[in-house]
Amino acid sequence: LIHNEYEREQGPTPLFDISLELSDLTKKFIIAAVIYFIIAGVLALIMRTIQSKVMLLGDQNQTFGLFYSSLTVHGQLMFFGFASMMVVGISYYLVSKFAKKHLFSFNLAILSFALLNAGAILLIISGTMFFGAGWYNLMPLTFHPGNNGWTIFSSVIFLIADLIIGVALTIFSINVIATLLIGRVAAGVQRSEVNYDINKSGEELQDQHKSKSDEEDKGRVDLLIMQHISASVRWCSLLGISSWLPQKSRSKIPAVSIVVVGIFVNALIQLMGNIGLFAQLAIGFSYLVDPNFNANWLLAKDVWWFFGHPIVYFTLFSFLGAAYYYIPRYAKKTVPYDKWAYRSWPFYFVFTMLVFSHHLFMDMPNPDWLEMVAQTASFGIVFPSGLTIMTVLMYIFRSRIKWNITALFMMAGIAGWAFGGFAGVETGWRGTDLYLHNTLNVVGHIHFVLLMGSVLFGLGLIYSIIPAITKKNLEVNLGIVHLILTLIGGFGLAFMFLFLGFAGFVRREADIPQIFAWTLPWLLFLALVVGFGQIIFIYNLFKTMLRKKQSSHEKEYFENQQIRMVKENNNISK
Amino acid sequence: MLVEHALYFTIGALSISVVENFLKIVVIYENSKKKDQVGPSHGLTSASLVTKKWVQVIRWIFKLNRYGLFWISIAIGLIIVWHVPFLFNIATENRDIHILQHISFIAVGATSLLAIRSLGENSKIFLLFSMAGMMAFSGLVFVVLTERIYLFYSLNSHNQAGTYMIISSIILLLVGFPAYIIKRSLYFVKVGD
Repeated sequence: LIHNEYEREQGPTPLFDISLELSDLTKKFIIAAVIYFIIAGVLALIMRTIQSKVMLLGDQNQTFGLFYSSLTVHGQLMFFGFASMMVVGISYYLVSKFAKKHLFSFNLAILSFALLNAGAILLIISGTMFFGAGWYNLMPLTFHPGNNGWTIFSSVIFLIADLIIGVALTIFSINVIATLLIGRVAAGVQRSEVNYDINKSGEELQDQHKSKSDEEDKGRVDLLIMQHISASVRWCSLLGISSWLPQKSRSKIPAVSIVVVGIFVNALIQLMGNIGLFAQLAIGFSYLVDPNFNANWLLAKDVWWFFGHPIVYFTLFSFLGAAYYYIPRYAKKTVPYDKWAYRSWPFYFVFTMLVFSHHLFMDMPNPDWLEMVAQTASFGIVFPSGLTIMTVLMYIFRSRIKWNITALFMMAGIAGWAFGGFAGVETGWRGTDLYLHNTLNVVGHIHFVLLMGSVLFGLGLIYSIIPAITKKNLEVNLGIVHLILTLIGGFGLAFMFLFLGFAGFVRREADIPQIFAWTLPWLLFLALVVGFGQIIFIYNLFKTMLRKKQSSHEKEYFENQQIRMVKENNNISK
Repeated sequence: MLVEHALYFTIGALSISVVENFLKIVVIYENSKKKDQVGPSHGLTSASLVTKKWVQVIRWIFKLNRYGLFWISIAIGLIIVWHVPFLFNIATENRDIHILQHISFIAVGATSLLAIRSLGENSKIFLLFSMAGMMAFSGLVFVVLTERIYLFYSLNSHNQAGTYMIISSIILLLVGFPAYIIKRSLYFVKVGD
């Protein structure tokens, strides 16, 4: 299955040559993300160790305190230090590459990188001070320090970290939206939609989808031209709405790349979601400053999840957009403009904003009707998700897909995300949530969606982007070992969490009942397998980046690519 | 209350249209009079002099019409000011201030219309999207209130207002927002043809 020849492993990136500064910044984002991934992973191992009744700090109270601070920092660092860092960095790269233009502001990109790092470091510091209210800011625990646990200082540090991260994500969103809404943008594939393809004699050609394309270069995105598009047409295209219009109208609206659609929807949703984070922090800080302040904790929790649910999708959408492009390319199919790729995005956009209240079915319930809206949206989001999965599967159906590492990671990501989605729908239903909410089942769901979904997509993209940036390929065999260990450990962990949840294993508990003691060695083993896989990945990554010499294959390939890129950039500037 | 205030916004927007149409009629009338005039001008009548001065004043105001952000800032500022609980409570108790509040809402309608017309297409779409988001967000605040913010209204009224705001925002997001984008896109595509 695996191609031994690795010279084209970096995949089908468009020929637009991004700036050297952005290449460097993307590398920095990836390196920072990987470092936080390791730290967050170590915290997961600490949790497993403590649950295995090992008193790491001698005293039980302190050891359990360490468990809860590890739980908190592990969650937030995975979300913000690792996943969001990777999404922001890779999104900047992909936006520039696929919209064929430079970012609206490179300085804002640097600022978002600096702020994300500052936030992540402050999170780690709050953890060393035993802050342990959970990544989800379990309200009002975060704002009630001094209960023989963490200090008010550690709470403030944690909350400032969240504030800084919120600002960083807002800056990212504004930068991406401005990049895509201002000035020219690469668009126009829709004009060559398969049904409208015309041959030289002017006859309309029928469906040209084939198991194998004849074209040497199937990067149809390179055929996109830079266009000035009026604002409403641009929004219609960027949100994927145009794909639902009748053929006649659809063919007249220039389509931007599907990768760009994914990133734009992501940025727009997060921009709105961030208001929730800021509102929650405002309520919390008001209470910290003045304990007589009559805080509405239900509202604080609501607004937190108005941010907290979109942030889960934030780790996914940019990568899903990329998967829509990369997978058919690896499958050697020509997908000039596939309306089904675009059709899920308006629904992602709407349902992601309505779904947040399903996190509050249990502890602090909202009004019934609001919960029903959230439940309906939880079921509703199955439609675009199913559409994405089916579309991607159709791309590889009867294709001669090149199962390189990026393609394998991405398909595994689709599988993990699908499993996570099933689990999410179960707990998004109020009746089932009653039984599963406080169990490891929810932990299993999030590990499927994040670790086996977003993270696998992100890692797959790194295997494609790093060679494109450094002009050096990562080692294939090490990549395969990385993939296998991550899949065994990750799927193992997530499945165990899921089924232990069904068995009644309570989450957020340092001291677990004896009946579940047998699970702990397994969970620790699987976590170690994932961790070992990542160590191999980091070794591979740094070895490649620090390697000074290119092989003759690499030299020839990348020199040719560079010539084509210069040509493409000249065409664009014309 | 929601319907009543929305009505004032509409009156404000309509009043701008009426004023503009009136001015158009005046200008057309003056122009036609000039055309009909035979021989040397005998100077302006007192009525047309007043009209001319009035038009100059209106023109000066409408010079700002190019700056959409100016108008939208006024509209947002007025809305925020009158929803500060302290001011809102005073306005419900004091008749004169209540009238002033309603006049402000008429001004909000008028300035919003001016803003919509002078803002770029991108800003308009973003405004529509922000409006849906902010309405949902404010609705959420009202839905889960456990204490009254505006003393004149019961807690139940607060919660109900939140419900209506969320429903309106969902309709705006699901119907209004895509409908506007699609309509404008098709218009531009047609014009492009």
